[in-house]
This record gives sequence, structure tokens and C-alpha cells, in this order.
Amino acid sequence: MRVLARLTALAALCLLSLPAAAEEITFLYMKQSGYELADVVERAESFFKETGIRVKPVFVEYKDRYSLLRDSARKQVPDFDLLLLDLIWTAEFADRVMIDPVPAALVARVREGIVPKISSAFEYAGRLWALPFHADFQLLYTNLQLLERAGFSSPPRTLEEMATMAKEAKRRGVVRYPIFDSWDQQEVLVCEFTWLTGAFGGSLTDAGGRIDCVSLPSRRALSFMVSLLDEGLMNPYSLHSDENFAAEVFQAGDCLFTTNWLYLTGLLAKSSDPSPFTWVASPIPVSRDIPAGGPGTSSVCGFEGLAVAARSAHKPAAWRFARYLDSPEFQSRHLELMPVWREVWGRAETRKNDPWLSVKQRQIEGLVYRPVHPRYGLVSAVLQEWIFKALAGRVAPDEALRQAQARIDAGRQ
Amino acid sequence: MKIPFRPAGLKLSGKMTLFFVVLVLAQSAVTLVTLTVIISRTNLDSLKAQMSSALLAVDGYLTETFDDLRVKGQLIAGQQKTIDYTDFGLANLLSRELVLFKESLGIDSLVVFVGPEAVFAGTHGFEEDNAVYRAELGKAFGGSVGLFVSEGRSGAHLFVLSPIKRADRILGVLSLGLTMDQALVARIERIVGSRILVSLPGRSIHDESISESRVLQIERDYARASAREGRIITSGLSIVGSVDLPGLAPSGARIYCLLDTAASVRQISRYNIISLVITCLILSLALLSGIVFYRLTIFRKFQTILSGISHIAEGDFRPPFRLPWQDEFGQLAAAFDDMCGRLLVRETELKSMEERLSRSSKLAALGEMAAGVAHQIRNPLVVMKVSAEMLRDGYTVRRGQEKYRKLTRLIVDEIDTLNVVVSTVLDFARPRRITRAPCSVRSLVDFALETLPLEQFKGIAVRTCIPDGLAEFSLDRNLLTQAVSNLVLNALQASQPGSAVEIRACQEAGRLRIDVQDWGTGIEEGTTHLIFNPFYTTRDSGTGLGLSIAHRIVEEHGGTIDVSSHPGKGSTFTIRI
Repeated sequence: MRVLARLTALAALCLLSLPAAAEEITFLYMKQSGYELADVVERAESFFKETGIRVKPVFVEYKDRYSLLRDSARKQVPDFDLLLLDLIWTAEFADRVMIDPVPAALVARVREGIVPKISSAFEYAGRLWALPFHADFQLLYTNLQLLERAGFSSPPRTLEEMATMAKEAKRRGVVRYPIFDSWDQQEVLVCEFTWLTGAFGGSLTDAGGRIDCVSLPSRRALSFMVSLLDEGLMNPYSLHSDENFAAEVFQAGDCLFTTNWLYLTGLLAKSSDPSPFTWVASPIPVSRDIPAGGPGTSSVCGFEGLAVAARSAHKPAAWRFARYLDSPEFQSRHLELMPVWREVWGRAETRKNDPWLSVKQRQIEGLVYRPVHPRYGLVSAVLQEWIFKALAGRVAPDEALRQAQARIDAGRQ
Repeated sequence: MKIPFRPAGLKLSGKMTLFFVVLVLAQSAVTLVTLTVIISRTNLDSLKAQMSSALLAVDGYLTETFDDLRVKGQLIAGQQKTIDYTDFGLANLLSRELVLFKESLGIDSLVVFVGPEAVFAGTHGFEEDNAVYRAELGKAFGGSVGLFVSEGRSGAHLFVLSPIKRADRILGVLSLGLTMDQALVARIERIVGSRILVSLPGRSIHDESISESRVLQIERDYARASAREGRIITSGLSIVGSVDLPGLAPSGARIYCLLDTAASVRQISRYNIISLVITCLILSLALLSGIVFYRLTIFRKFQTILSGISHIAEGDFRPPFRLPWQDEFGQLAAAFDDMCGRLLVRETELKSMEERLSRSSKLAALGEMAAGVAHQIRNPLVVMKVSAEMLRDGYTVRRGQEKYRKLTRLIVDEIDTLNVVVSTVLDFARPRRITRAPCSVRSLVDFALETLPLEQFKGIAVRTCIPDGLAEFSLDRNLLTQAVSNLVLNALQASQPGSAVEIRACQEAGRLRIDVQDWGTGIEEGTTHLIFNPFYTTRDSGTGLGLSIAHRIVEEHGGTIDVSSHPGKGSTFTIRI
């Protein structure tokens, strides 16, 4: 009996001494995201070392992310515990209970450390649904060499001035099409339309939160877009171009102006080829008709946040890694994008390493949100379709917007 | 014809060796020349065949290159990006794409035009001031694909111009260029395996091993000889072939292929030297083998036969060989053996005949001597018989004392004569002993003349001609004095008054020669061989033994005595001791 008791005790001791199976969370991340994938992997590994919680990053294309998340949410045990959330999906995912709201402790931290223009991007129905992670938005990029050949020395201060400069460049034969942008029939087209509406003093959402794309600013925005094409100032190839190609065009020196996300500053700075021209990034100007006193600039938010799946079995671990990844310390080491934490902005090192920080800060003041809507996908698709038709000359701008508004209101495409 | 070298002094073996060497050398020379000619012609034919292949390869390479350029041009011009970027003015992006195409497709220049005068994008190679290029560019904007050679400040290029179209609208023209430089030449040379010279109206492209003067010479030679010899000609130490660049502007563009024959000529020379050395080695070996073979076979047998023949020459007729050889030397030796057998029989017979002849001669001589003695004796005997008969038949003392004394005196005189004959015969028959001693010929002759009754031969001059410095000879002075005396007496007896007898002496080939000459009656023909026989005489008086004794004395000295006589003109007796 004594021997048996000893053996039993020994077996129990062995079982207790075995390491507990490490907790593992799955993290859906986007390949085109601003941070290098290797940095994310490294962050996950250091997190594991510190906490014993294993993080398995899954990198997917932007276009695949939405469907993967929808499929994952339908499962009893979701494929992903932590996910990178595009702000446009916030309302939909919250309504469908695909994600959990941010814990109160983290909300307080966000409100304290992040400017409202950024933190409020993931608010819906009075709650915060993701930790702001990527603060991305568009800037105006100007080829100073072409600008000089066109007879100007500094970037435009209004949209009209930009058009004037483009006309002059075209007239002088500096470049056939002075402006290039990403006006392909994709989400980016809505982004462009959004900031242009903002540049004319409006928004795609009215005071009641209703989608309004037939307002005067919206109509002026689309008319302005069409006029650029009609006057040969905007390269028609923009209608087939996404942000990446537009960036390539600007990098190649084939256009005078373009608007693009922040990553283009990094691309231009990191370009291995000796840059054939000098360039400058500046806040996107607004129409001269906008009264003074405002920010004087307009851009569109392209934020990404870290959200936790509602059905995740590892929510505490997921939020813990989200907080670890989305830390001022991590962001201060990666300044390709705009750090979301205000404390990072104030650091001397940040100002030294990011020459465009002040421009970005100014641009943040003029950020415009795309509509926050539970059926944003439908809204976006309608807007893309009718805006593109107007740009392609198949329908008049106002009519296109009316058609879009009608369909959005009817909840159909 | 004069033969410069006549190897008359050479032995047969030497002559044969010399003949062999000359023959082999001549044959080698002929073979060498023939082989050189054949190899040279074969080599030339081979090089021409190689050149034909090279020209085909150049043709193929050009066709392939043209097709390749055309395809590449159409491929790049048809790329959606090329079309879009050209259409939407994205020149830098297009240039970037063209750089990628240029590097990946191995093209030297890629340029896009959006108008005949408007370069839109691209890399190097634009011929901005070239009329040919402009003309072709204009055609390309009309929709045709151009392929041509153009020369400009930047060099010569092979161009393909392909329109860039969207639907039927020509947006621009893509110019795709391949630089015709030394790299291209080197590329063709690697493919073709011969040296290449690209000849254009304004320039030539080639590697540094071909000088400009050589280029001019090749072009001149080709222009002169191609009409006669076709596409492949010979120029200097090279085989030259050419391929025209048809349908390309400017006209006259041509690619020459050069195959160097110097190397093969050197190779042939090397083969010749090797062949010559081998021939000499073989010849030396053949000579050495021949000499060894000759020494071991022919020469040894020849020496054996020569030795046998020398035995035969020495009178040994016993068959000397009796060899087992089966070859020609064996046959020769057998023939000699046979001949020796026959000679031995003949010699035996000859000796027998000689002995018989000797006996006959002795008997004949004895007969002659007997006849002579009988003749010498008969006359006195006749006188003695008549005198005795007269005394027997009526002689009276009264009738005459004088007659009686006369008759008896006759008998006594004849008896004395008979006594002299008998003494002479005995003296002739008595064996003589030769006692030699150094003797002066002059004193010998003088002494001989002193013993003669020269006063009896009045009117006949006796002359001597003996050199002062004549050496002394070992002779029996008394006997030889007698011999000379007998010859001079014989000459005096044959001479008439008013003539002369001359005695000459000299040294001839180490021997003593004494000539006794007279200009008397001479010796009758047919009797010369008889004059040395004892008791032979043509005169009424004398014993007929003088010449026989002289002959015998000379022979006993080991010498000879010869006579040369012409009837009516005189005789010369010559003693050689």
C-alpha cells in the first residue's frame, strides 16, 4: 500500500510538473498594412516570450479580409481571435455581433492618449469597437520639378489653384496629364469622393447620421472631378488605377499632383533609385470657397483598428496582445504611418525621424469620415458605381449622385 | 650531257646504296610534293565547305535575328502596359518598363515615338538626324513594320519599328534597336565559328585583329573576284564569303565571313616537316638494315667467294667452296667448284703435256745439237778422210814432200778443230755457279769490249751509252761479261763496215737493262725463236753457241733476254736482270 501510495504521488507530481499547454490566439492581419509583416511577427514572438501566449499571425490581402472575417464570424469557434478592422466595417460588425466592444479600461486609455479625430473613428452606437492602430489618411503629393517647369514654386493652397497649376503645366507641355489619382471603381473611389466633398465643405453624412450624397458639396466635388477629366488635367488612366499604381506613377515622375495614403512618403523616401525629381507632401487643399477659419484642408480616414472576435475563446489574451502591439513604444519605432498616440508625437525623436509629422498633424485636423453605416458595403458599392459612371461620362454628375442616393435610400444597389 | 658526279670509284654496294638513297629521296620528294598539293587542295575544299556552312549559319542567324526582333517588337508594342502608358502619357513608367524589356530581352535600344518627331519614352539608340531612320519612322506611323540597318553618329544599328495600336488607332511607334557593334560581331563569330566583318557603306565593324587596310583589301578582292568565283573567294591568307543584307537600307550592307588559312598552311608545313623527318628516319633505318643485311649476307658470301677465287688465282685448282648455300652465291660457288674441278683435270693434262713437250724439246734440242756437232765434226772428218785416202792411194814421198806435209797438217788441224768443238761442247754442257758481287755496268761493258778482237771488224764503230750515275748491280761479273761479249761479237759479225754497234745500259723499274743494237743484216723472219738454240748458226764459221751461252748466263741470273730484229735493218738484244 505504501508503495502504491508513493507511486500515485509520484505520478501526480509528474503531471503537475508538465508545462501547461500554451494559450494561442490567431491574428488576422493585412499584407498591405503599413507596418512590415516581419515587425508584427517579431512583436508576436516577443509577446510570447513575455507572456507565454502564442500569437499566430495570418496575413491576407485586403480584398480577402472581409469575406474571411464574415466566414469566421459564422463559426462557433471563429478562425480569428484578433483582427485588423477597417473602420468602414465597424458598424456592420458591431450590429452583427461579430466583434466585442473595447473593454472599459482600454477605452479610457484610448480617450486619454489619442486625439478624438482618430479615436472616434471606431465608435458606433456610443461604444468603441476597436483600438485605433493605423492612422492612415491621404496627403497631396507634388512633383516640385514639374511644378517649377510649369512656373510655380510651392504647392497649391486651394483646389482651384491646383487646377490652375495643372492647366499651366499642360499648356507648357510639361506633362500631358498633370494629375493622376486612383479613381478605379473600388473603395478608394469613395475615399476620393469623401475628401473632395469635405474639400467643398461637406460630408457624406448629414447631421442626423443619414447618408447624403446629393448635397451641394458632394455635387461640386463630383463636378470638379469630371471637369478635371474633361479638361485633360486628370489622367484618364486614373479610372483604372488603384492607390498602388497611382503611387508608381508619381514615383516615376509622370504626374504633377496626386493624392495618396501616407505610405507613399515612405516609398518615396526609401526609393532605391536616385529620385529623378524633388517632391513635397502637403495637406490636401480645399476649395477657395470654403470660409477661412477651418482647418483649410481635407482628407479621408483610412484607419485600421484592433478588434476581438465576439466568439473568441481567448478574449483576455487577445486584448492583451492588442494592447501590447498597439503601444506607443512600438509605434514610435515604426513611423511609416502616423502614430496614433499623442505622446509619440511629442517626442523629439519622432519629430527628428518623421519630417512629415507636422504636415500629418495638420492633415488630421481636416479628416473626413466615410459614412458609418451597418450596410456600408452596399453604400460604398452604389457610390462607386455611380461616381464611376459620371467620371466615365456615361451619366451627368448630379444625376449620378441622385441615382446613388436613391439606391442607398432604397437599400439596393 | 656531263654528269657532275660519277661514282666510278665506288664499289657495287656503295653504288647500290647511293642509288637507293637517291631513289628514296626522289620518291620522298615526289610523295611530299604530291601530298602537300593534295592536302592543300583538300584543305582548301574543306575550308570552302566550312565557309559555305558558315554563310548558311550567318544567313540563319540573320533570319532568326530579324524574326526575333520583329517578334519582340510586336510583343512589346502589343503589351497592354505599353499601349496604356503611351496612350495616357505615362512616359517615365513606360521608360521603366522598356528598361526591363531591354534588359530581359537583350535589346540595345527601345524608344517609343508618339509622332515622327516626338520621342516619348525609351532608352538609347535614337537616330535623331538620320534620314533613313526618319523615312522608316514615317512608314511605321502608316502602320507598316519596318526592319532596316541605319548608320548614325552613334554607330550602326539594326532597327525594327512596330506601331503601337489601340484598336485601329496608332498611338505611337516602338523602335527596337540592336547595335551592330563588336559585341554583335563576336556573337555571330561564336555562332558561326569564323571571323566576321560587317561592311557598311560608311564604316566596317570587326574585331581588332582585322586592320583597316585588310578590310579594304577584302572589299577590293571580293568586288574583283566574286563575279568569277561566286560567294566564296580567296583573299590573301583567308577564305572570304559574304552574305548581303537584302532589303535593308542602306544598300551595300554586307557581312563577310573570314576563315584564316595561315593556320592550316602552318599545319601543313608542320606535317611536311614531320613527314620529312619520318622519311629520313625510315631511310636511315632502311640504310642501316641494308648495311647490316649486306654485311651479314652478301658481303660475307662475297668475301668467301673472293677468297676462294684468290686461291684459284694462286694456282690451287682444288674446288675451294663446296658450300651448302642455296642462293645465287651458292650457285656461283658451285660453278666455281665445277670450274676448278675442270681446271684441275686440265692442269694435270697440261703438266703431262708439258712434260712430254719438254722431253720432245730436249730431244729436239739434242737432235739439233747433235746435228750441229755432227756438222762441226763432219767437215774435219771429210778433210781428214780425203787427206787420209790421198795418203793411202798413191802417195809417194818422192812425188812431193810438201804435199805430204800439207796433207798431214790438214789432218792435224782438223783434229785440233775437233778438239775445239769437243771443248766447246763440254764447256757449254758444264754446269756454272753464279757468284754475285756488286758490279759496275760500265766496267763490265768495258771489260767485255776489251776481250773482243775489235781490230778484225774494221769500219764498224762500237759505241757505249751508259749514264754516269748508274747504280751498281749484284752480278757475276765474269759470266755477264761473257754474255755481253757474245752479244757484241754477234752484232759485229752481223754488221757491215761503215755501220755501228751500240751498247746502252740503264735502270728500268729497279732492274738492269742492257741493249746491244746493230744496224746489220738482221734475223730472217721465222728463225728468231731458233737463235738461242745451241749450235744454231747462219754463218759458215763459228760454233753457234755464243747466243746460247749468253741466253743461259742471263737466265741463270734470273733475267730475260729478248731480241727485236728487222731483216736488213738490224737487231736489238735486250738483257733485263
